[in-house]
Amino acid sequence: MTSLFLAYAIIWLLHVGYLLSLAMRQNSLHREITTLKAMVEQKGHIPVGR
Amino acid sequence: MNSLRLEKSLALAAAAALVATMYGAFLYAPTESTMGDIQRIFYVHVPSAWTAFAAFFVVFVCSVAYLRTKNLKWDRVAVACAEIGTIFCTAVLITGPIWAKPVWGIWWTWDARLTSTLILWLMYLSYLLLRDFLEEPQRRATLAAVFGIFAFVDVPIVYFSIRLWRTQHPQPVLMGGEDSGLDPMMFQVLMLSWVAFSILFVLLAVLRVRLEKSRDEVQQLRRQLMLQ
Repeated sequence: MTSLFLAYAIIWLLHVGYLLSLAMRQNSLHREITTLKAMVEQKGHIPVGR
Repeated sequence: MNSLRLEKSLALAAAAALVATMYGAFLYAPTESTMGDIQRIFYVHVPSAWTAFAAFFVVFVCSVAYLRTKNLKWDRVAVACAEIGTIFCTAVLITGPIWAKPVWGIWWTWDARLTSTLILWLMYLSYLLLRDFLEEPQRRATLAAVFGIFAFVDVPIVYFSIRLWRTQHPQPVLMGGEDSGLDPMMFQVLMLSWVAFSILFVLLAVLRVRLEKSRDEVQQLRRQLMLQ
């Protein structure tokens, strides 16, 4: 039974870990986009659409 | 339906299906007579493999579509599915040995099924690493598409390996000939698990494609800043 629970635990940790990594990478990119948009607007000019 | 609502609906559906799968795998499905409870790994091992195959098939289709159209949207879906397929393939390679040790007495053997699966995992890992070395988007997408088509050749080899060669890995329980077959309750849980993993795959793909779009936006903004 230990091996069975170990297998299921690893599977769920793998998927939860991947979901968390997606969320962290998305947040980091979102912050970078906000900063870059501010810099573009500060430098001047072309409004940036998503 | 906007993308946020789609993501929430998929997340709820995936969570419900996965909880139902856990109930089915641990409480509903009967205990296998020869292997005992350890056989319940089957309900995550096999659907993980099927989902990895499906993800790699999407990579193949998107790679062909990219080479035909040169539209980067296909490349975004391809890289998303390659990464997710690699995660599911990792799950197969971890659960397999955990199942094998108590049943075969060994963690690993270099038979055709196990070796071809390891090669599959290494190829898609290489696909992801290759992309990191290339900066220019069109060149990266073209090389990745060629590699994505080439790597898919291993999927049918993995699938048919247990039919073509004598392996330590068991023969197929579904569509495997006269001696194959599965208890109806086990079959129901297997199908439920496959549906749950498929919904999880679609959810992860939607999230991963959104990430790739954000990356493209960052590149676009950086180029704009450099031009100003």
